[in-house]
Amino acid sequence: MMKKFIFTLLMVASISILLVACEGSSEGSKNTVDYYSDLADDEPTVKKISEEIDLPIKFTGYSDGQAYQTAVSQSLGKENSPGIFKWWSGYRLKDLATTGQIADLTAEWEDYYTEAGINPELADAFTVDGKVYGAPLSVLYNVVFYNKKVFEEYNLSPPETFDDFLNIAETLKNEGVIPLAVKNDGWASFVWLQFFLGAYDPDLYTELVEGNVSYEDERVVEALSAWQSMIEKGYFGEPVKAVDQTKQFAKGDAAMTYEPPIFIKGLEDDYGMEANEDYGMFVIPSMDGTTKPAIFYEASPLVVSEASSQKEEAKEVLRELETKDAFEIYAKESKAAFVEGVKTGNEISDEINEIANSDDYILKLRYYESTPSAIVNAATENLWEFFYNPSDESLKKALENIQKVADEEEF
Amino acid sequence: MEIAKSKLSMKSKLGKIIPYLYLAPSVILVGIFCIYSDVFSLIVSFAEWDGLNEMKFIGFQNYMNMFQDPNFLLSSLNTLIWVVGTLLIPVAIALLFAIAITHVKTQSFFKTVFYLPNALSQTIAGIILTTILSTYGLPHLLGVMGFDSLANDWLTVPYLNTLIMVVSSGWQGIGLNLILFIVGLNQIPKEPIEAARIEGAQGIKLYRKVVLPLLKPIMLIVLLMSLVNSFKSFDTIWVMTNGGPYRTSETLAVTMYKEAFVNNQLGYGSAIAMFLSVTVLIISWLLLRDTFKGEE
Amino acid sequence: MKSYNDRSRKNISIFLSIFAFLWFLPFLYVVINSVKSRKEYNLGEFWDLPKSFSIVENFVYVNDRIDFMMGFLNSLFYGAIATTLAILFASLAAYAISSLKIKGKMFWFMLIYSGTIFPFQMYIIPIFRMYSNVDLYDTKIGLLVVYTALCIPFCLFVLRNYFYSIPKELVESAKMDGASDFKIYLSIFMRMAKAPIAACFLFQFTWVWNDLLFGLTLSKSAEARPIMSSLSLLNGAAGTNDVPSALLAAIIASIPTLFIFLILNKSFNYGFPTTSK
Repeated sequence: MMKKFIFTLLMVASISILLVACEGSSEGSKNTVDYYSDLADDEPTVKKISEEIDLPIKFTGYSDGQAYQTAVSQSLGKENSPGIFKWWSGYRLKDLATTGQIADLTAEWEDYYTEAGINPELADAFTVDGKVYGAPLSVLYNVVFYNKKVFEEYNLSPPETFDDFLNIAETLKNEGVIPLAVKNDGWASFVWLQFFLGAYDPDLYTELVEGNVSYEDERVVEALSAWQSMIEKGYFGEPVKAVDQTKQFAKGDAAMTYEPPIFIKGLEDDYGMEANEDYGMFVIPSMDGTTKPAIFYEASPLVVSEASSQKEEAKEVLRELETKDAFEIYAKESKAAFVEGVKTGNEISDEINEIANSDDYILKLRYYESTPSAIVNAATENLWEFFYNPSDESLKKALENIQKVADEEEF
Repeated sequence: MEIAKSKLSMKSKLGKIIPYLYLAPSVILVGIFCIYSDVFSLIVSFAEWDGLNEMKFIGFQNYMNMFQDPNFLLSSLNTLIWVVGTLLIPVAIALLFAIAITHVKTQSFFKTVFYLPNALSQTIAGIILTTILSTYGLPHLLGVMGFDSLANDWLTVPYLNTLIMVVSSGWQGIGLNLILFIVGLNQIPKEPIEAARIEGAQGIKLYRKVVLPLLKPIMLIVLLMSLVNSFKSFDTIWVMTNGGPYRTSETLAVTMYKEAFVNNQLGYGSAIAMFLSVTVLIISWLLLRDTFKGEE
Repeated sequence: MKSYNDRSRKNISIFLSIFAFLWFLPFLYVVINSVKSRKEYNLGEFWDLPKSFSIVENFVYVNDRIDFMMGFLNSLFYGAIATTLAILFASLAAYAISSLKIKGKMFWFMLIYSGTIFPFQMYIIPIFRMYSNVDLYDTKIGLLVVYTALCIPFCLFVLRNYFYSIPKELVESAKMDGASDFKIYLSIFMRMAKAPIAACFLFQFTWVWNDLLFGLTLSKSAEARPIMSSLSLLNGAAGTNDVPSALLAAIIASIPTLFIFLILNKSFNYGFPTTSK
C-alpha cells in the first residue's frame, strides 16, 4: 500500500514539475495596458471591445472584492501597478485620490470624453476637490421592476401616485403574493433608506448625506415611518439571498423588486423572461405628488494609476473606451446603458436610460457612494436591525446610532 | 597536540550546531511567512490605517475601542458557542461514531460516507448547505408539505442561524477527527481491555476507565486541532450568512475580517486578530506543556 | 471487544446507517441537480428528478468561463509538492525536538507551532506586499512556498507527538551500532511513522487543495491560479448564477481529495501508536 502511495506521489510530482517547466512567460508586449476589475464577468465584454476597436488591453478579473482591493491598493505607487483599474465613486474614490496615487483626468474629460458624447454632469460623481479622477465605466439607475403576469392577474398597473403604490402592495399582500422582494446582502438595507427619502423629499436626502441635516430630524423620521408602516403591514418579503430574490420575482412569488438594470440579465439568462412581456419597470412616485420623482444611481469609474509605467498608454486607451461605440458593446452585454442614444437591445433597459436622461426626473447619487464609509457601515447594520424588528423605538434607536457615528465624521 | 585539541573542540562545537540545522528549514519558512506577518499585524494593531494612506500610530486606542465595541463582545460570545459546539459535534460525536464504527463489519463504508463532506472545501460545502437551508431549499419543501410556519429562510433568523451553522460545519468537519479516532481505537492493545473485562468492566464503564485513557494522545491532537480551528471559524459563516443579519452571527475571525477588509480599518482588525491569537496561544500552551515536562 | 453479541451489533449498524444516510443527503441534492439544465433548475424545485441530462452542456459552460484543467493541474502541483516538502521539513524539526540535543525544545516547538494559530486572513497584506516586492506575486513558485510554509506547523505537531512515543531504547541501540543521527532519523523514525505521515499528507493536501484565501490574493492569472479560485470565478454578478454547472464543477474538483483519502485509508492501519505521559 505504501509503495503504491509513494508511486502515486512521484507520478503526481513529476507531472507537476513538467508543467512548471512548460510554463512560458505570459508577459504581453510593452504597449499592453493592464485593466484590473472586480467584475470578473466583464472579461468577454472587454475582450470583445478591445478586439473590435483594436485596443491593447490585458484584462484581469478578480472574483473576490476584498482580494481585489488588496491587490490594487497594495500595488499603487509602484511602476508595475495596473494602468487602468475599476474603482468605486464617492468617498471610496476620495480615499484613493488623497493618496495622490491616481491620475487627474480633468483634461481628458474636457478634450475627449465630453466630445465623444459622455454627459459632463457625470463627472460630478468622480470629482474630488475640483479634479476629476474617474472615467465612467457604468452608471446604473435603480428602478422598481414588476412582474407583468402577476400585475395582470390582479388587474394592477404601475402606480401614478405614492398612494397607488400602497394600494398595489395591499392588494398583492391580500392575494398572498410578496409585494416587494428584499435581498439580504449586508449592505442592501440602505437602498430602502434612499427609496423612502427620495419619495419623501429628494432635497432632504441631499441635505442628509451632506451632513446638514441630522438623522434624528423629524422629517427623516417621518419619511422612514412610511417604511416602518409598510414593513409592519407585511409589504416586504423576508430578506433572502440575491439569487433567491431573482427567483421569487421570476416565479411570481414576489411582484416587485427595487434594482438596477443589470437585474435584467438574470431574468433573461436564468429564466428566459422577456421585456414588456414578462416584466416592466416604473419609478416610485413622490409622496407629495408634485415633486419630480427621484432616480438613484450608482456610478463606477475607471481610474489610472499615477505611478504605473503604462500611465500614458492607459489614458490613450481610455479615450477609446469612453466612446459610444465602446459603450454600445458594453451595454449589449451588461443590459445597462447610461450614454444618451446607446442601446442595450432590451426595451426596458433602454427605457430606463431614456427617462433617466430626460428632464422629468431628479438624479441622485446613491447613498453608498455619497456618504462617508463609516456612516454607511453604521447605517446598513442599524437599518437591518430596524427592518427585522420594526417599531417606533427601533427606528428611533437606529437613527440615533447612525447620528452618533455621523457626529464624528467630516463631510 | 594543540592543533588536535582545537580541532576536537571545533568538532564538538559543530556537533552542537548540527541539531539546529534540522530545525532550520521549518524555522526559516515559518519565520518568513508566519512570524513576519504576525509582527506586521502587531505593529498595525497600534495604528490607524486604511491600507491606502500612511499609518498613524495611536497607541492602545484600538484595543481600548475593542473592549467597548458591542459587536466585538457579541462575536466573542458567538466564538464561544462555536468552540463549545465544536467540542460537541466534531469531537464528541466523532468519538461516538468512531466507537460505533469499530463495532461493525462494514468499517470502511461508514468511514468513507462520514469522510465524504470533508473532501469538499468549506466554501463549497457552505454554498451547498446554504442552498439547501435557504428560501427555496428545505424550508420551501416543508412549506409545500403544509408546515407554513417553518417555511422561511432559516439562515436569516438571528441566533438560530449560528446553531444551524455549527451543525453544518460539524457535518463537514467530522471526517478528519473520525479517522484519527478510529486509528487510535484500532491501535489500542487488547491486553488491558481483556484484563479489565475479566475484572467485570463492561460497556460505558469499560470505555471510561480503560479505553479513553489509552486514547489520550490522539485525543490531544484532535482536541487541539479542533479548538484552534473553532476559534478561527470563518469560511462557513462568511459563505452562509456573511455574519448577518445585522452582525448577529459574526465570530471573532469574521469581525476581524469585516473591520479590516470591508470597513478598511486594518488597525482595528489587527487588534482583534492579536486578541484571538493570544487566546489560542495560551490555550495551546496549557494543553501542551505537560508533554514537554522533563524534556529539557 | 469480540464478545459483543449480534443483536447489539445490529443495533449499532442501524444507528450508523441512519446517520450515514443523513450525512449523504446533501450529496444526493448535489448529484441530482448537477445534471439539470440551468432553466430546469431555476424554474423547478430542487427535489424534482432531472428531466434532462445536461452534464456535457454544463461542463462546456464551465470550461468556457474558466480554465478548469489548468486550475486543476496547478492545485495538484501545489498540493503534492508543498505537502511533501512540508512533511520533510517538519519531520526533520520534529526529530530534532524529540530526540536531538537542543536547548529550549518547547520554545522551538511553540515558535513553529504558532504558525497555525494566527488567523490566516491577516497574512494577506504582509505576504502580498512582500511578494510584489520580490516579484513572486502571481507565480507558481510563490504560491508553492506559501503553502509549504503554512503546512509545516500542523505536520510538526502531529509528527512530534508521534516521534516522542518511539521507544528510547531503539535509538540507544542504533547509536551503539554506530548509526549517525541522520541514519536514525531515516531508518527508525521515518520508517515507523508511515501512518502519521499518511495522515499529514491527507490533511494538508486537502487543505492546500481547498484553499481559497491565498489563491485569490496571490494569483491573478490562469497560469498560477489554483482550482478553488478558478471555481470562484463561476459566481456571476448581480444574482445570476448557473447553479447546476457550479455543482458539477464542485463535484469534479472534489475528486482528488476523495481519491487520496481512499488510497491512504488502508495505510492508517499500519499503526499510529502514540503514547502519552
